[in-house]
Amino acid sequence: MENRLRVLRAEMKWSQADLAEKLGVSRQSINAIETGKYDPSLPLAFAIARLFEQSIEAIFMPEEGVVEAAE
Amino acid sequence: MKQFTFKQAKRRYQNWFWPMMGIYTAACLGGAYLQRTLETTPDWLPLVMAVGTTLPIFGFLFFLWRYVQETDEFSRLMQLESLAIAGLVTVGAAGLIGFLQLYEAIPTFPVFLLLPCFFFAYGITKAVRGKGACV
Repeated sequence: MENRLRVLRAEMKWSQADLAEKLGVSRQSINAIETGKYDPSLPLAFAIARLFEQSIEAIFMPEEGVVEAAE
Repeated sequence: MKQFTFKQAKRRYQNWFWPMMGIYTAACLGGAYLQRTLETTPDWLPLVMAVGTTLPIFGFLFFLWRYVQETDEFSRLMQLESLAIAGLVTVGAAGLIGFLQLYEAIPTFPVFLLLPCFFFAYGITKAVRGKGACV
């Protein structure tokens, strides 16, 4: 799953550690999400969306194949 | 269950990890000292020494499990993967050593060494998985 987390974080001028602190997770978690190595759970995705005041879909984009399979 | 942030969970774990390791080290050294210095040992002493050395290990394992439950989801995944791989490696090693002993290819192996084997495999796996996922 792709995401805009790095871009949104950069817009807020937050470091990975800053964002991790605000979400109550480890810096490694933020890094893994940003690099696409880990997809967050729904509660964490909601927390991220709430923090940036955006919808989940505006931050996380499923891969093409996943959307096509669902349709 | 009460929710903890990653930092809180890590602090709660570390607050108990080091005391447990300290007690374990003291028990190992104390046991070795007693074994060397005492010429005659009462029947109960070996049992007390063995249980006394093992208790901090159970304590450590309990606090490790508590950390796994309290930490954030990504760290939990890393921890559980590392523990699972370490467990598989240790069980595999125990099986191999057992059969080597059964067919008398090696002399008797001290079983307690499987414990450091588990933690060694756990540490290596955690370092490798952490690096691959986080750098």
